[in-house]
Amino acid sequence: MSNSLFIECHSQGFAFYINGDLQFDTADEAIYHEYLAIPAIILAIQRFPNTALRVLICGGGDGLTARDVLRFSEVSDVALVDYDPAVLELGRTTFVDYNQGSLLNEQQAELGSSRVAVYTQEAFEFVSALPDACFHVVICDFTFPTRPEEAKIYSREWFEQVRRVLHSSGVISTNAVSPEQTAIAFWCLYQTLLSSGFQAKPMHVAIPSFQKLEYGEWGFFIASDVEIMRSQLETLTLPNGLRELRSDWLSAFEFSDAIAQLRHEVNIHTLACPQLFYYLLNAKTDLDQFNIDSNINFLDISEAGTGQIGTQDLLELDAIAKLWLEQLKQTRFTAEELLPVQHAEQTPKMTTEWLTYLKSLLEEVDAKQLLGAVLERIQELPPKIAHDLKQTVEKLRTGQPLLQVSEQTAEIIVLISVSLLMANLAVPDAAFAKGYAASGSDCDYDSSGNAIDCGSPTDGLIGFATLLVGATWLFRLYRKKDE
Amino acid sequence: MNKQKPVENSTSLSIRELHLSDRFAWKKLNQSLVGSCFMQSWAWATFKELEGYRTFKYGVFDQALVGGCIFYVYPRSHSANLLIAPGAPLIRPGYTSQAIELLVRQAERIAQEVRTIALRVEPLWAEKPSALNQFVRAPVDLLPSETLIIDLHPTETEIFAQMKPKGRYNIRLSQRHGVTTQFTTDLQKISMFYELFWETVQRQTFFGEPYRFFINLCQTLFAENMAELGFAMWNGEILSAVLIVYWCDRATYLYGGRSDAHGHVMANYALHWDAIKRAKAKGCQLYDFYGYTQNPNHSYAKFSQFKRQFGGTPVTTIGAQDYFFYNQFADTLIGLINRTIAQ
Repeated sequence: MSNSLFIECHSQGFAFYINGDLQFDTADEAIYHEYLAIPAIILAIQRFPNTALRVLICGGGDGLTARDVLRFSEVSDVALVDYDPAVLELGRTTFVDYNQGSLLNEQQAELGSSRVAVYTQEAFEFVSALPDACFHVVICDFTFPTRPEEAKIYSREWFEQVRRVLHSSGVISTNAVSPEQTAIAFWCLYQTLLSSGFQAKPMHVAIPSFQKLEYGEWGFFIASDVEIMRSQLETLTLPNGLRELRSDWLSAFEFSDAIAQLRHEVNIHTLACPQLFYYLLNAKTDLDQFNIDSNINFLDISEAGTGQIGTQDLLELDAIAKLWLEQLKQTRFTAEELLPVQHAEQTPKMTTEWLTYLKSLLEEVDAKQLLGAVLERIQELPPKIAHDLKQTVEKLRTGQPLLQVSEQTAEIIVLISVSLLMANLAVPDAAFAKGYAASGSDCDYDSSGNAIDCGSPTDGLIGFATLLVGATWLFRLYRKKDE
Repeated sequence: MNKQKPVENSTSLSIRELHLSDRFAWKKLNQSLVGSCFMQSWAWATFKELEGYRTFKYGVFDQALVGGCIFYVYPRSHSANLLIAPGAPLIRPGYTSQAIELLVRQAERIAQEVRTIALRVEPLWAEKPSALNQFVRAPVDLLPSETLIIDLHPTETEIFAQMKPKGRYNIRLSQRHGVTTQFTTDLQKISMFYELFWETVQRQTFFGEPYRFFINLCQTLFAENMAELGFAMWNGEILSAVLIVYWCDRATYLYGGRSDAHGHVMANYALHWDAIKRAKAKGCQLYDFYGYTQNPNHSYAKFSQFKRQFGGTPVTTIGAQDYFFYNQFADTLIGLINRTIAQ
């Protein structure tokens, strides 16, 4: 899919957006790029003395990270791989005043260099084809994932590939997410790095242009297969000419203790069982809940990973169906757990409001047609379930009142409900979200647009369970379609 | 609003995917029908693709294009998705039943590919035709099914005269205060719009789309001359902003925002009045306030009270209608049963 690129001009330069997401603002891009690139390179210079360093930049087609890498004469080769030719073209033209021509050759620009080789390709594919131990530094300068598939380059499998192509003691520096807005997602990346065989150190900095758009403080990780020690970093010499990275930069490794504790509550992100996107959408950090009175500096601790591989992708239908089935057996879940946010433009309030529409959604369904379609394939079901379902349908067909449905029939109704809700959650821009509802909502609204008197969604769920026990819902539904 | 003709054309129709080369014909079809919706424009489909949707554009042909639909789905890896078609189907009178049948069959084929259990359509029709009998009323809409529309056929003087006295008074008041307006397709002005939009979202505590959404929307629609930003200024300060979408005969007030400051100069009235005049000058026949309620308890009651001052006619359409693909739904259900209850 092609990206939409947008340059927004202002008095101090411009801001660059990909698909509407801010990539950098010239007013403060140096904060981001210097924290991302400089520590990794100077650490590599210390670890590989008198060595011609080979650096891989993944993403970063704007050429700004390359600019900061090319500051160092110790760097002999830079490979930059970015899948978007349009961004690379901007890196060679519009952005030249800022990247100093890092993607051009010597004849074309001040910083132009034959040291840089540019590849237009997906980074995962590119890195997977590289030989082992061919780079001293890998810098990941990717866009923020806004869809599940974009989180692939934050997976354990990805970091394992990066570790494979790094020399032993080599350094990876990666752009992360906001530890302030999405702490759980940030620590998911931390645990994922640890589980990939890296010793990772988290960093965070305030970038005004990011904060203006409510992205929060921004996070990075610097990692290596060999522990990164405070004593090593304290002896590093920063190059001249930096704009933002100053001698106090080690404070970037300091986190509030309360936020840092969350790192033990996450699963790692793998391709087989993705977690990151769920965390990004559903685990927003409520800073008010923390008593931020003490800090922890990650340079002072050395720890092994505690993150596990998840047992399920919590955005998947099956995982949510299982939660609902447990809810039927009285296990308590919050409304947000039962209906997680599925899309970057949804809010928990929008998704959980769907619970108030459940009855209307069920009433839409022609139970006779649906159960008929299931009965046609009854041999695909386990015998006990098939038997129960046949009995229920026969009772419905002959008009016998269902004084009680079997547990399994009740569970099937729950699965129908979950399927309907999940299908509707795929449409984040349904007009109801802007205050419009058709016949289904029981909500009233106050004059400022707040929903009032909807009843608690979880209360509605308990009511639904009651309906299940009486089986009146299914009976009426089945009969209604006959009339 | 489109009232479907009862007499059906008996020729046999065909359906096929629309390609870029069909874009002009698709626009012509939209222009020829009453009740075309911007969400069925090619540009809107492009915008939604930037937002992560997959789109499927299908045309129904009786040699020439006589109907069709742009379907949207937000792809997810599981098997409970929903195919939507806001503002569709679009069908020439006389072809309704046949065209709907073809489009539903096509939707069912798409449903198998992207694993959707139902199709939700929302044509801007005043009455539900019998051809939609297999569809049931959805509990939520894709578009505001009740809206307020100003007929732009009369002269400016006549349009002004049909407004409520308070509306006319406030427009004149804003003029006396020297409120000026400006309309633009300058992408650099998106941030100005967004500041007022976001201020309003926070004040009214309703859901507001992120900045990303407006960048993608404006980039796509401005390039097609399909939308503009409008601003009302007073004493050098921007007090009110709107985003107007132009499609076929209709100008739609899609988004807006206003500052809480200097309410006495009635900048919002000046802006909408100028937007109405501008829409008429552009050849639009309708100014759609995109959402209206007569229910005083509705979240939009306050906004509707403002809109009412401009006169116009409340219009109600049939709302969103759902068609279930029961075989696909059964498939989803059987899979779920086997992976959950049976284990």
